[in-house]
Amino acid sequence: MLSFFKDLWGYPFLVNAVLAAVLASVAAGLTGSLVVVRRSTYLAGAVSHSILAGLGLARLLQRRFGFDGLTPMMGAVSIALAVALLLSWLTTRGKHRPDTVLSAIWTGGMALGVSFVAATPGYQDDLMSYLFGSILLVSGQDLIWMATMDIVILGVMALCYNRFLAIAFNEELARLRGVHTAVYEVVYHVLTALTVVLLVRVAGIVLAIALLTLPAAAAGLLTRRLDRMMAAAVGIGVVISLLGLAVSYGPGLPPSATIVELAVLFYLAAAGIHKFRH
Amino acid sequence: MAENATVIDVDDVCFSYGTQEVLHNVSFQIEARALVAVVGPNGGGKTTLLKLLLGEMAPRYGSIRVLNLPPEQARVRVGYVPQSVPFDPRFPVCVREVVLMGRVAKSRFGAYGRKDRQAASDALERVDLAGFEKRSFAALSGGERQRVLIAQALAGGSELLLLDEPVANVDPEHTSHLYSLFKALTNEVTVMMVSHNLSVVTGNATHVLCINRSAGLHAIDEVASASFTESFGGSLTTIRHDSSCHVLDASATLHSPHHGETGKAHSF
Repeated sequence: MLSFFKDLWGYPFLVNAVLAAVLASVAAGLTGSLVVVRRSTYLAGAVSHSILAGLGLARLLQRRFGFDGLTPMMGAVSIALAVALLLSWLTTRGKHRPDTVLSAIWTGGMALGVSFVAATPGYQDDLMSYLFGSILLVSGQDLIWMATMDIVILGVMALCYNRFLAIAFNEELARLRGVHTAVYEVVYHVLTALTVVLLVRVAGIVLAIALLTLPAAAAGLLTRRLDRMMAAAVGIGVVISLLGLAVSYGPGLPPSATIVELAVLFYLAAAGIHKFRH
Repeated sequence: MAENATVIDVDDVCFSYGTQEVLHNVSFQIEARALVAVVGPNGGGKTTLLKLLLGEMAPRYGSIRVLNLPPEQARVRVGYVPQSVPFDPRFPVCVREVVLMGRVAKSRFGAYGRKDRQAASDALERVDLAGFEKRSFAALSGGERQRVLIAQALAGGSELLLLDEPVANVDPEHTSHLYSLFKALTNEVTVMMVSHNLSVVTGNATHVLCINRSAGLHAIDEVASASFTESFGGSLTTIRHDSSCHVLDASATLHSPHHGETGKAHSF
């Protein structure tokens, strides 16, 4: 662990990793708390797995069809936003079982992603890093993307917090009190999608859900208000992701897996404390 | 609103779910400051009526005016309190936040203002929960939660309260407190509540609205407690509505033609 702090100032990639961990924790703490209290983890899972289709398509268009300006991150954001809007439309119409729709998006997105990767010339090793995360490979460009998304998420949350809280508490009552719940559902889905994209860069498609939900779930066990839960989730996220980076650095462990393992441990500890106190 | 102004005006309303008609030729008017108990058997159309008054559904025939507006426009001035809210006991929210939700669409984007917080404190005081602001909503009893939801409706400036079985999940001790509260609230607002507790209803309401597909509104002094109870039990002939008895034989009424469609019977 000490070697991490010793090397931190000498290697820019480590500084980038630390900044990425902090930026990801801010988004995850804010949006993840809403996801947890609304019990919509499955929705976030569907978005994160569908992102592989966006990553794969962007790389296919880049390598095979010469769209040089297209980056995998652009593909990820585009597909995540498309899935968010699709989910909003489907849930508002209410004619389909949500879990069935989410399963279709979850598995369909993964399948399309695999097909796009297979159709792309050459070995796509960096795409595979999106599956399990590559926080040590985060670039300055990625950090700008992440910071921009954080600003958007923070701004929307600050403006719409009261409405999000009312809808999460009881959608029917919020609607009857005059809240345009359908509009805020779209905003919520878009925020979730942006947060998941951001987390995929750090923890990968498979592990992003852990960072989104575990710090928030642990915070929910320790606080009794949503705004405090969000603040605590951000703090927990920052601590476990920095600790995960430091712990994994010396022995060369995969950082994203270490961060998620610490998140699980922290959640179990919070559950133990909660049980002891109640 | 003036004391004798009409708050609810339901005129010749029919409503059906698919081919099953649940309300037929329903007409009544409710004036301001009334405390109306809506009674009737399960499936008689009580909850459907509340949803129509909230503008959640539109009648098949007839018209509804609430606070002199179409129901969907009046909605923000109507406080609906459900029987219970589907509630996650781990949901992180305190009493003040729940009450402030009554003003959620009135408030600006961002944090609630001083006026909103004052309205929430006043509403909590009106339901005898002053000092409960910081308590967790999950830690309250069923009766206290109902009071908080009523405070939420009052904080939003509701002129009409629609309560769907407000004491269904409340113990007997707190039930009488709640009914006293509803009675006190009629100094300021009109209250319409669905209820099964007939003895308490007759002791507190100013009017009784009987719903069993058709409807009849009675001033409370027209309704004797003993005979009223019978309307739920063996005899259904105790509450007479002019020349017809709306609960005597609902099927006969249902198969009569709608007033607006001369000679044309509905198919049910």
